[in-house]
Amino acid sequence: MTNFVDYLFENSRLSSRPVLIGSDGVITYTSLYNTVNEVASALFAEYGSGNPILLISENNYFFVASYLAIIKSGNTAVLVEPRIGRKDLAEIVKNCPLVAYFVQEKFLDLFEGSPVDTYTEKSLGSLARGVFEFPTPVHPKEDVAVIIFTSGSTGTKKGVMLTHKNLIANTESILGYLHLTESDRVCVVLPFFYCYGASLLHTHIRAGGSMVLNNKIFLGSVINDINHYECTGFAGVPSTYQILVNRTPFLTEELPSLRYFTQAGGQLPNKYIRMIVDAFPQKEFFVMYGATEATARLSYLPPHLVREKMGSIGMGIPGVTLEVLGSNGMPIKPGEVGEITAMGDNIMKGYYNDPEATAVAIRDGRYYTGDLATVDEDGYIYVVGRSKNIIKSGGYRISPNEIEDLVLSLKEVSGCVVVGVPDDVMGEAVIAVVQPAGAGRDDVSTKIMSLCNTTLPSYKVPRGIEFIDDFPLNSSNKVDRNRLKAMIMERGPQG
Amino acid sequence: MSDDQNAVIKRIFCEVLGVDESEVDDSTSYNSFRPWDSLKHLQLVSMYEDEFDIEFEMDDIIAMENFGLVKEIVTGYINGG
Repeated sequence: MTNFVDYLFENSRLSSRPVLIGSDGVITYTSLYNTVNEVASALFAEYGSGNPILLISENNYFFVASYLAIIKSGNTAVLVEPRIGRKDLAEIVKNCPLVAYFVQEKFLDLFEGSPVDTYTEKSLGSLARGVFEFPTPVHPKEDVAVIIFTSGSTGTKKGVMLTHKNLIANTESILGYLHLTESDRVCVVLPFFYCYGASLLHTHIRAGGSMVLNNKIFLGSVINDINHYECTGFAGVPSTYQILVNRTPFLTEELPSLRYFTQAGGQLPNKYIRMIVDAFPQKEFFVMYGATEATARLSYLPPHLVREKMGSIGMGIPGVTLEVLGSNGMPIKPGEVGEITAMGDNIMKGYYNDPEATAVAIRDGRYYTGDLATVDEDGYIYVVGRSKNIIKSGGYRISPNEIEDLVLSLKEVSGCVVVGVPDDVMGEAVIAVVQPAGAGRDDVSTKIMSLCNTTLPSYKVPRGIEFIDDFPLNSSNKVDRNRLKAMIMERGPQG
Repeated sequence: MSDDQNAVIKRIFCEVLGVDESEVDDSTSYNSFRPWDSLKHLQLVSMYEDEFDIEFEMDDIIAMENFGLVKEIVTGYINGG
């Protein structure tokens, strides 16, 4: 009957050590635990348990206290990225019987008028009215602690339902190989509404360590933060490291307190991995792989193998069976290509209100990731592509369909296909390839950019627009996205 | 700084953020203006570097926390500061 929050604070609820360090000052474990309990008991008294409650915030004390209080109260935290478009948000609000909203004040304008039962960082205190014991009956296997909305390949947001048991299992597995202790302190730039960011929150609280929250305007500021707060760990997606390498003096720094780096959220090109491990030979570099549907983590490559197995995502983490299966459903032989599948207590309960999509993703208790991979003679896995039509940019999953539909809504456009091309900063850059309906390409470009800028979150806005007279087609007369991508890459950045 | 330069700096700022020029003044700040996020900031930096053929130091990229500072810092580079 363990509530995930009780599990997290099991060893540290009476600790006077810091848990969060950031623009809100230093927050200790006892102080956070007390607030979480007070807010949770107020939520339980007001709304009972088992209801979805929305949370939109950047990484700050408000997010952490609200998130943990919602889960502790036996309700479900529905996490939404602050960059969400109004249309997507309206869709979620319509389909989810939300009983309350926790919204950082800065994002209140996403809502038309303030919905009832809205709490901001200013009103959080009014919910904390003293601690009293209250029952939070949870069934760890069944009860959903968190729903994280993520882009599916069709463009519709899918709500990944994670149970208390999922969260506990993945936290245990990650701690099993990262070996975090209470002296660990991670510098956090990844958002907590994203599964990788959330895993930092979970593992550090469970270990009794601390987190430095960096929400600054430019990533280069982490170098100062790591040194100033003597951080022992740093976590990033490919674009995090690419920006640090390309735009800051990162590689010439010593970062003496830092023990390790972790990297997940897509494939960081080998040349960057090499540059980082060459620059920091004494520090560990963990290449990892995961999915929101797997709570966060599925595999890691032990750091001592990073040169020998360059480009590999390693093998399954403790508690996860990770296998690459061929089309016959059997594990592939070295050199063959198949789909990465996973089994374990960290695999989601399913997609919210979407049994069909759940039945496609989870078959016979096995989660099909949609990522294509090969294995080497020693069983190490190498991702080679994706079977789903998804672009990964800046750590975000982006559905090309959503952007294509938007661009096609312009009468000046007769065809549009969106592809991701390798990019030094973003991992993949979103490029809209457009077949114009008439002449005047400059005008069309301006119209497309203006529409995308006002409708889409910034990471989905195309970085470039390319014009084409005819799309390359495959044998079934569909646009051949791979060939199109190759053509665009050949044209180069200037088109 | 010349009026022309200021106009170009503002035009680029508004184009990258996808906002109308009337929504932006010197006090428009990263912390409270929702369209201005870290990703947009990176694009802004690249656009200014390309447009004016300059290259910012990291501390200056971090210091551009409101539009007034953006203008001041970009102008400093253009004028060889």
